[in-house]
Amino acid sequence: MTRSVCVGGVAAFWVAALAGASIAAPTVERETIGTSPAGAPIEVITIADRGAGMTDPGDRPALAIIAGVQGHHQIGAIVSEALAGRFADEHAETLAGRTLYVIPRLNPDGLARFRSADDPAALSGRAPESRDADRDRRFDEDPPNDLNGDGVITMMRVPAPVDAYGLRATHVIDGDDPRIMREPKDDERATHAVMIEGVDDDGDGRFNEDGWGGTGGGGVDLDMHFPTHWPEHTDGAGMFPLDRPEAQAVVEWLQSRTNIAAVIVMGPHDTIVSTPKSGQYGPAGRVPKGIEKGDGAVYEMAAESFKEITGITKTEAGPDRDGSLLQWCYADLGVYAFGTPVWVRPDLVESDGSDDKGGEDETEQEAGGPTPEAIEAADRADLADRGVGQIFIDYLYMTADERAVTQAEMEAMSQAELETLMTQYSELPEDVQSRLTVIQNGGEDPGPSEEFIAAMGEGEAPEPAKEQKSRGDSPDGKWLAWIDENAPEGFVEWESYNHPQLGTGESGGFVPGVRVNPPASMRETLTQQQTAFAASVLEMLPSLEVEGPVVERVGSGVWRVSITLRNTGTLPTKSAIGVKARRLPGIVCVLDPDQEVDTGNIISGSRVVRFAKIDGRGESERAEWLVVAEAGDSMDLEVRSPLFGTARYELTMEEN
Amino acid sequence: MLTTRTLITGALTLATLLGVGSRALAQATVDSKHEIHWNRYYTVEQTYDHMRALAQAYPDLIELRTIGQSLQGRDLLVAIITKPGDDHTKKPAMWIDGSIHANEVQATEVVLYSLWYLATYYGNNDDITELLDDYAFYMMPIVSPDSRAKWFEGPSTPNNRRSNQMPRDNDRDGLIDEDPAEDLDGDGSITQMWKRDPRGQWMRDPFDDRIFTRVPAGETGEWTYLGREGIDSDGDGRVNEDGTDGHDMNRNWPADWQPDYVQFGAGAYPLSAPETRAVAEFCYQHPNIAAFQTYHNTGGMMLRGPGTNYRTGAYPRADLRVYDEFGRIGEEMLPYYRYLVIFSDLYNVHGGEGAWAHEGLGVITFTNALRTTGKYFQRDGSRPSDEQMWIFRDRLQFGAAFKDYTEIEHPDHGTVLVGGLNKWSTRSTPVFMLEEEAHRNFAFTMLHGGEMPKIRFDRTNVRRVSDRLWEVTVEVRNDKLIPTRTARARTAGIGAADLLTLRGNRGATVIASGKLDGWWDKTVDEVRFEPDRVRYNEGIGSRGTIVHRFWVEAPRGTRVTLAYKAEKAVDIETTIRLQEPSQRGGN
Repeated sequence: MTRSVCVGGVAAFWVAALAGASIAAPTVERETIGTSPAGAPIEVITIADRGAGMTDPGDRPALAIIAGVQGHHQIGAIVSEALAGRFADEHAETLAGRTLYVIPRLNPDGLARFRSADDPAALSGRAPESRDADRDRRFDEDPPNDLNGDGVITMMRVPAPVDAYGLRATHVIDGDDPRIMREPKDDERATHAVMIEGVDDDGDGRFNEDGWGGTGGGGVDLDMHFPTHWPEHTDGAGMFPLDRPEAQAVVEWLQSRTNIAAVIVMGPHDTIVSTPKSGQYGPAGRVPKGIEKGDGAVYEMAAESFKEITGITKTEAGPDRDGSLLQWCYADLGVYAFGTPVWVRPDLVESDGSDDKGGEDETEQEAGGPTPEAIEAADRADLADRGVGQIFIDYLYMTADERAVTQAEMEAMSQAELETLMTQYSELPEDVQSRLTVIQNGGEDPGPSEEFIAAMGEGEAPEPAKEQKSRGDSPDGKWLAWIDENAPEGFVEWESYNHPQLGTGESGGFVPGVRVNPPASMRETLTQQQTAFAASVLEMLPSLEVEGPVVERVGSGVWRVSITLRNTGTLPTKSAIGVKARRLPGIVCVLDPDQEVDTGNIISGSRVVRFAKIDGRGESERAEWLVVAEAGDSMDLEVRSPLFGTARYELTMEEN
Repeated sequence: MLTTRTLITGALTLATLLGVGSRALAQATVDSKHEIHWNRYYTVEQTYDHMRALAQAYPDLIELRTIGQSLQGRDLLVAIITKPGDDHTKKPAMWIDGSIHANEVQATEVVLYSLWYLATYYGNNDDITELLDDYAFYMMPIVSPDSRAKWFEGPSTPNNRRSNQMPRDNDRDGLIDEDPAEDLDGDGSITQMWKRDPRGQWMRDPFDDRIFTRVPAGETGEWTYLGREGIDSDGDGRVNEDGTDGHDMNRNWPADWQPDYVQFGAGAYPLSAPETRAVAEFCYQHPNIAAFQTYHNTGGMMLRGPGTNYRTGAYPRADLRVYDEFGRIGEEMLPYYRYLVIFSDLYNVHGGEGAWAHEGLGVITFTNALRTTGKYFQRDGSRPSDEQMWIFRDRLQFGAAFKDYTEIEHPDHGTVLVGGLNKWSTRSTPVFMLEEEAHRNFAFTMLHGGEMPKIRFDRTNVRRVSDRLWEVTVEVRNDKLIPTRTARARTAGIGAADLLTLRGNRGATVIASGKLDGWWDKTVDEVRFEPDRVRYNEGIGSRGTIVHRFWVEAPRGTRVTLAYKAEKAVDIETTIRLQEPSQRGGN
């Protein structure tokens, strides 16, 4: 017989199971998690069901939406705030057993600076900070300048070369639409230099190299300021990762949660429509630059849902940048991290949802089967994907001498390091453990399985050659076509003027942000789309159902205790990167956590049983013990989960 | 302070470096205003008390600054020492710290000794006086005070308390710090546990029962090894696997920082520990730091970065020449120590402090691993044998590194024997050797710190080109080995470029200027913009010069001021008059 005792958040285990039942209206709470240098609060909005008897929202799987990382991306802040305001009304059912967090403005100073009417608007998303980008001991002394006094910083096109300043021609004026500056074709000669509007304020021969919105300086780009692949000593990256309080606050807050399963970042990067590549790592070899292979299916599922809801089939957003919040959320926090610009160039949105996505990984195939080098490379990548530590992978492929050195190093390790290594070893997949055992016994590494090698040859068929684009019009041309129709104030016509240093030139071009932030009339549609997508992600989050615990009599005084944990959600309880990153424990089942029973009486099964993850769609894990006890004795069983909280059950040793 | 030996080895290339000046002979009889015994170790509080006492005894020399609080609220104490009355921020400074790994205890005493020595001999020794006249030193004997306190209180081993005391679920079971080490015999150390077992595989040496040996195959002994002293507090089958130790603060720095799954102990993010953050912020706020030393143990090494093979690009050849020169002399100053590279001679380190100081701050940095067993026996050769080590421990340390086996009652195992080598046994310098170890390492840091940039105007030449046009040629010299801009700093764009300016009165105008390859070079590389305010990103190299030529329009007799500013040198200025005949020699 089993009786559950509420400890911490047991009810979380049940809420998901009761999703069909009526639930109270979710409520919205705001808390401040940090303050920007200018004194603006950074707020988290928590949307969760707080009905009587409910568990803490921190003990439920959660989605976090973060926006306003880069100040010029105003639409993300606007849409996420609107989403937070209406989500509880429109999608209450998805909050059964789940929590939604929204941080609409991570970079309040940058958002305010972009909107500020006091200065000409420039295209910069940075958090303002004086950094002396050109290291000449003068700070912010050469920003862009609003030469034509129209209140915005646009571009200049200057007939080049201008020898005094070493300016070279790089562009031509497009013949069809003279508003467009483009690179010359093979049979053309460049005629103009294109630069940000401004003068050489400090007389050092360079233009706009140190100041807000210029080619350098003006602050810290929070999307280059996170530790993952941080681009050190690059303008905008900051003195050190998370130096800025906004970035530090969001990292500390996210790390203090154990229940976040997925993050959506609304900003200039896209990792939804184009699934990031797998198999690419930073220099240390293990931290992904894209995603882990094992997470690909989830990203594709999210992409499908996203495309269906928004109609967005492509974005102009370049690949995600080093040091971005997105990269950190994925590769360090270890959760699914989806990035979307929210709004894209309107001609990239299709209502019929047809797509022609490309960019699949190419698989090389060698005649006569893969070479040993290819097998090693594939095996290494596969092992890394499966979360095998680099030290073990390297060990498999070492020479005997190198292994001797490694063993000597291990002898010099501290107790803590050794213990960690042993834990890692005990958590290795069985096939890897057995390979290591062979080596340890003086044998040769048997290598990966034959099935694995055979599967290497079965790469997907190469994509047919892409159709040559028939339309010659450029992205700029398409933007202009849309602007002419919908936002005529979004382009400043080129107008000639006399530049004090460069002579005659013209200034004009796209108004800063016009290709990032849509007209106000589109906000409602975009909010609807993003709200629906957030709901679809929430619905995919894992749900845990507990079967048992069950007590069975095995023989006189011996009892079998078992518990089955089933994930009825779509996503696994941990992403592949989460398993690899090991930031959080898996799901831990502990028999007799208070150690009231002599350890010797647990005759089979470890007192503490760990599951790294439980896959979704009904997959399960089961823990089992044999216990010596008198009939009628009682014993506790505790289940601990970062996503679902802790539950405790009291078991009585008696026949069911 | 100089031995014949160092003079001979250094003489060929380093005559200028070592210098031979008058020595204050009184050194042998100098009393310190605050004496400290160097044949013992000091707790956090005792160390801080000595720092305060030194600051009180030498108030004009030493300023103490609390740069932050540790995780558990202890002060992070830095001593700033320089010539009385000088603004230390305007002089090149050397950062010296110890015990970021708290179990590497003697690092603290070495830094404390360095502070004591500088204070005691300022004014009593010409070399020391000159060092403090020219430079400042920032000294932090304890970077990880929480763990040092814990190591001293125990229970400890030579290896634990390396990490800070950040609460952490080391065994990933959802509970934090639930299975710490238990000091069952109450000696302050975690040692070994043995259980009497008629089928055991071990026996005690009949002549020395401290020694357990494995029985030959097929025989049975009397003892079974139970592992480390402790209790499986959480009943998971493992002992002491989730104690209070948290993150390794020497993997927590923003230079090739990698998360915990790549670099064990890395911490939540770079500078996530209050201690590392406080040190880093102090260093970022003091761009005058031009040399960096951090102390560890063990093995007798002077280490430089990089920590991994893919960071070698951050150590350009020009910087390696500086390192190699210190390393070579250092090997003479520190018997049995070797000058090594972390990644190729030791192991991979991501996010290490020393690598950060070089790669992040652009400063020449050494990490010394204190203590060698070579020094125990004072002769070259392979590792000492077990027998030699027992002789050393029994006859020279009088058994102080060993805890005799005693019987205790263990909750899971019944009667067991507990004992073995204690926490002082394998990593700390034996106390009677501590002063020498401290002194030699201190002297090595002074070799390094004494080569921070020192610049001066060397030759200047004024030539009249036409009625109102003057050609001014100026040479600026760095007398020291460390350049004003390391190759790392100038290639990575760390810190501000050096700046050479010419300002004159009476409407003097610099109409052109340019850089010369040397004093006799005829043609300049023109500085096209701001010819009167010239950025020298390349700085002035090792014992090198820069030569620059200005053309100035001004009436005869105009006084012009030349100034050279470098973040890592004292700013200099000289004034000359535009007139013939040309003046030579400057200053």
